[in-house]
Amino acid sequence: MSNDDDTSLIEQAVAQMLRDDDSLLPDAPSVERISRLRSVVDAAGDVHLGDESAGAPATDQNRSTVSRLRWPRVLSAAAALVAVFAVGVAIGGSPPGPLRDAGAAVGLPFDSTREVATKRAVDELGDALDAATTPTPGTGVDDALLQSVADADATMVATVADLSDDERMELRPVAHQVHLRAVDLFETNGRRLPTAQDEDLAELGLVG
Amino acid sequence: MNQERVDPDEPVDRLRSLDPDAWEQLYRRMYRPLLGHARRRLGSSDRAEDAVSETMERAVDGLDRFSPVGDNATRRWLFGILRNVIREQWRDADRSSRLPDRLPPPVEADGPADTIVRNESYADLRAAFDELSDDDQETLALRLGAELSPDEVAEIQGRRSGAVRMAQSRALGRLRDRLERKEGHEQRR
Repeated sequence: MSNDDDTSLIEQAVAQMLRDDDSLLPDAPSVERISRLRSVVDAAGDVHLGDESAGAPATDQNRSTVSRLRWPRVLSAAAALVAVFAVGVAIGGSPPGPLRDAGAAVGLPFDSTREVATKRAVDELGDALDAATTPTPGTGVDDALLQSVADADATMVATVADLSDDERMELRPVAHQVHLRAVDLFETNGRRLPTAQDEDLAELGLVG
Repeated sequence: MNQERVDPDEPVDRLRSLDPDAWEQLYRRMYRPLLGHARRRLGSSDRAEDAVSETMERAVDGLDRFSPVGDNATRRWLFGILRNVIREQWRDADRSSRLPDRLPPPVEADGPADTIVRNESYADLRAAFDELSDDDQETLALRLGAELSPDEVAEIQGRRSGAVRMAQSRALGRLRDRLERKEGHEQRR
């Protein structure tokens, strides 16, 4: 039996296994959970109708737990950071990196400098791959293009290694995907991507 | 993707007008698909229930940002929110606590021997699936468990459709390799 046949059978078996898992799930949410959602919808409707001042306590009570807990903390942290930014600018402009990291650490929607670097590295590797895989009539992929992919991949791997665990969980899927494209490109050209020998790749989640 | 083609089965206007009945209907309709996926990814029925509730509440909160385009827009939107909720829960829990509280394997078979063989194969498949990376498991769970199309999964995962197909193929290949290794190991014993 060919690999394709095997894979097709496994696909069917996995689908069956996952469907079996679902067979014992409850059919509907509990009355309490439905009631809670309806309350949240009603409360949101109240806000839309401009009843916030009159009905604030009841509305807050019905808001999602995450929203209720998150916003006071985020707003106070944002206020503190705005103040620090203002001081920084006033005294001649310190680099935003540390403040950016501080914002990310307290849950503000900032990318840390590490995340910014990783995203940039992912983009650059993607660009290098696009350049290397754009067909040029009469020519194959030249060594310079492959080298640029290898360099961009090494840079990206290094930036992923610098990420915190949370940041890595967030960015790993896209980094993994673009790394696999690089691996494929090298294999297609009978080469081996230098970072493919890096023993840390599995730990970083960049190999399957 | 910019076509304003909305699935007629999805009462987007009623959702937008914050009609509680429409939201309840949506909750009931999407409950099992969302719960099944959440349970597979979180490994706990209780946490999966909480994640689905949180997903629905965030959908209400984020209604202003919902711009339905194409078929099954609401389904894609809710799965996208659920994905974020699951990731946030992961941050609060180490991987060991995510090991699923598995449902029992199917036992119906033609006879006792068939039952044993089938359940052993099932256990092997389960074990091999659990050893896949989170990305592989998510892709297979969305494609084969939630039965979403490659385009839908691509939107949820922020990838291209072709990348989803490739990821699915690779994940199944890795699953096949693991099962073959296990089979070879057992034959040598």
